[in-house]
Amino acid sequence: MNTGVVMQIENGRAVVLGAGGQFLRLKAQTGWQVGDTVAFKKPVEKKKIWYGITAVAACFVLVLGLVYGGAPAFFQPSSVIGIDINPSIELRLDKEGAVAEAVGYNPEGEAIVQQVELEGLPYQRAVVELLSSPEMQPYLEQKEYINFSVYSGEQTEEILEFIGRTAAELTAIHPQIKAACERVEEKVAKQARQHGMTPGKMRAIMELQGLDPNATVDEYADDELGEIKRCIEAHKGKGGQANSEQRIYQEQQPSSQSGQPDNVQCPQESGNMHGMGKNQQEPDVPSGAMGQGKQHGRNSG
Amino acid sequence: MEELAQRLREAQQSPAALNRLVGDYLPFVKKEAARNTASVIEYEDRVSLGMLVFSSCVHQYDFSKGNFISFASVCIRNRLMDEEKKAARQWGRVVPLHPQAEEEGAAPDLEVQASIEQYSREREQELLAEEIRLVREELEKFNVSFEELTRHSPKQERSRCLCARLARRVVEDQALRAAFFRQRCLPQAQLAQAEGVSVKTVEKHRRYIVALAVILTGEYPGIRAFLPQCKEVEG
Repeated sequence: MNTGVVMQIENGRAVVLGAGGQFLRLKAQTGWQVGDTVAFKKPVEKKKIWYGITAVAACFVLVLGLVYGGAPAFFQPSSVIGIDINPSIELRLDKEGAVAEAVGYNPEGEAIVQQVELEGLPYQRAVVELLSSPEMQPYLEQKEYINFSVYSGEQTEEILEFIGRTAAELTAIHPQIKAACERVEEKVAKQARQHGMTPGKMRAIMELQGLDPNATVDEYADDELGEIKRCIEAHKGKGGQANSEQRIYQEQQPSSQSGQPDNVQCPQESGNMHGMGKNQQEPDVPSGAMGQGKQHGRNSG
Repeated sequence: MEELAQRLREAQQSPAALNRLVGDYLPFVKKEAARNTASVIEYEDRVSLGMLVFSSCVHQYDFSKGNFISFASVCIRNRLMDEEKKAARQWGRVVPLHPQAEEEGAAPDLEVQASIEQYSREREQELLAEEIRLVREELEKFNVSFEELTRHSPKQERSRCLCARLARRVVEDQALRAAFFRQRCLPQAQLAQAEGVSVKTVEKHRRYIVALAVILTGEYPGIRAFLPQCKEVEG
């Protein structure tokens, strides 16, 4: 049990200065007001409880997978869509492209995946539901960067094409945001999962390590992707050379030539992937859905 | 005793004197916080609460009503028991109802009891709220918000202690302090050089160090009770 002083309460969330000097964002309890000293449980404690259960469940699934699915099929990595805007969220997809699991990699991300029901939805629907949820709107209105990272054995191009369209639509609504999409390799996706972060963030840290050999994953694990990218730019500004395998966007066509908006950097495999029009392959996802955030959340029923 | 009485009078008038008094009596507060080893509240949290109550006690102490240390001791124990019960109610834990004072057979005397009645939780909340308002306004000048601090305060205690050491350096070094308030930003390169850490480390924790430096510079005894209690910080 911890105690702290309530520093701020906004929109049902409280900023609490805990003993020991850590500022925490917690759900405001009834009766809390600024200046109150309150008792609370640190969000991380919840994780600890689940570690044991998760480990047991993982062993159980491992045995089941080996017995019924065969080892090769079990170890086949699933598709992953990472979304970093600071809520750091990963959508893990099954073979059919539906969301098998939504994971928040930081407190903001955890709060969002708890409130927005994404499991079972086709990835297209899930991405739109997520980005148009009321919970995401404050971040989309304030942040400068959003990064989509995609790993998939078979569906990478299809997913990237969809994400490219979504990113263009998103930046049309929120012009201050710079959106980027990237594909990541299996190795990066595995390392990302090991370190508890999205593939996009993992790749950015690897890129930074290519420029600054002293940079460690732990050092940057808690940072926002935008900050890591700023560090990368700072190192490049000093004359550092990026690892060619890890340089993602420089390989792309200049945005003015590719036809994408200036603040969208996404790989393009087909000619018409950046438009705002309806995607013919995803009839479930309405065009312009991103603009209807306030009506798309759970509150809308 | 006369010296303590004099210091109490000064502390009631001057937040700086109060800060020094709280710092000097930290061992006493820690002793009170360590009494209940079976507490559901962590030790560090009990120390912070104890410091907060100690500050309130200074403000509300009536010199005509007995010994200050007894008064503060009972107030701190009382408050910690209250918090135990509150935490138990909130999180469904069972806490023994018999207070430790009863176990020890040390019922508070009437003077102390009267002093306890003066101790007002509302007053403490008002003082803290006012401190928080002032800190927020001060941080806004440095473009730092509480919301940002939830994302940028280090999770590791060791890192927070390092930041506290850096913030203290900013406060105590006249040149750094002058540059800090003149430019409204952290003199990162000078600070890193002065403390022998990398500029990257200072940059990474910039907002948190700014917040600590602002709190340490101003007269915020209530909020200071919640800052990292590291050996380096206490000097």
